[in-house]
Amino acid sequence: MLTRRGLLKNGWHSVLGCSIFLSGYMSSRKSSGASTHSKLETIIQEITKDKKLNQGRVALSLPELALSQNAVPFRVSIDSPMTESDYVKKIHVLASENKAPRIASFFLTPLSGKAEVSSRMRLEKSQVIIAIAEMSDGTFYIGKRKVELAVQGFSYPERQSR
Amino acid sequence: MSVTPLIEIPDKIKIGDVIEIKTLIRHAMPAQPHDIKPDSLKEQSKGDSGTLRWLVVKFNNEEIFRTKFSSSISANPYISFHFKVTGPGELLFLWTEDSGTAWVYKRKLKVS
Repeated sequence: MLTRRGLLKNGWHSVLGCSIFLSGYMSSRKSSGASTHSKLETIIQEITKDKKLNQGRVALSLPELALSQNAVPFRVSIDSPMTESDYVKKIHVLASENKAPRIASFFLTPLSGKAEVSSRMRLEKSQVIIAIAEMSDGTFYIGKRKVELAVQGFSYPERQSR
Repeated sequence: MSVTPLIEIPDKIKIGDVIEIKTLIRHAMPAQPHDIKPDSLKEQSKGDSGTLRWLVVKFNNEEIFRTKFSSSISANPYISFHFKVTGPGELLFLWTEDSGTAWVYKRKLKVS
């Protein structure tokens, strides 16, 4: 039997339960976000060994909208003369939201002539892609770019029968 | 398993040219649990296999380019890179799995 008092009682319980559920959900979300973030930060630290990351010189080209998450093409080019005294040593490509954030590392030499590489990667969701270039003089440059996945949570609505 | 990699090199090359070399090898690039746990460049432990890890390119036995893959690279990994032609010679491409399985491919570079 639904009475006013009963409703109040139940209502109180449901509000309490809901708030507990929500707080649990929020904290779990927070912790999961923090763990991927710190994972990425430790990887960046491993690469740069706490040296300064400069902006610029790194150009990352990606599709505006990636059609397949199994093969997203990317191209990294770095502004460098590629001479014996000044060249790009390494290019690291990282995906911030992948479980394995390291995608690939490319090791270049002055014989490369041009610091430009391209490949295809797997992405778990829409996210920011990071490219870090290590120069021969020990400086680091970073470039970022966002990529959207077309397939993420997307489906055509069902056709209505007549 | 015999796999012929696909390698694309421009036809007409002169000394001093910077050319783009495109490579592709047939490989499923299976996702490995170890790729999800420790994210370091250190060599993986023994017993895992099947992940393609390295592509090394040499010109006249001198290393010109190297890639380290992870399982976040798509199946049938495609890599393109640039190379400044210093003269005629032989390009050597070497793909290596964690298990030690390797594929070697050689290509003569004709220079006009």
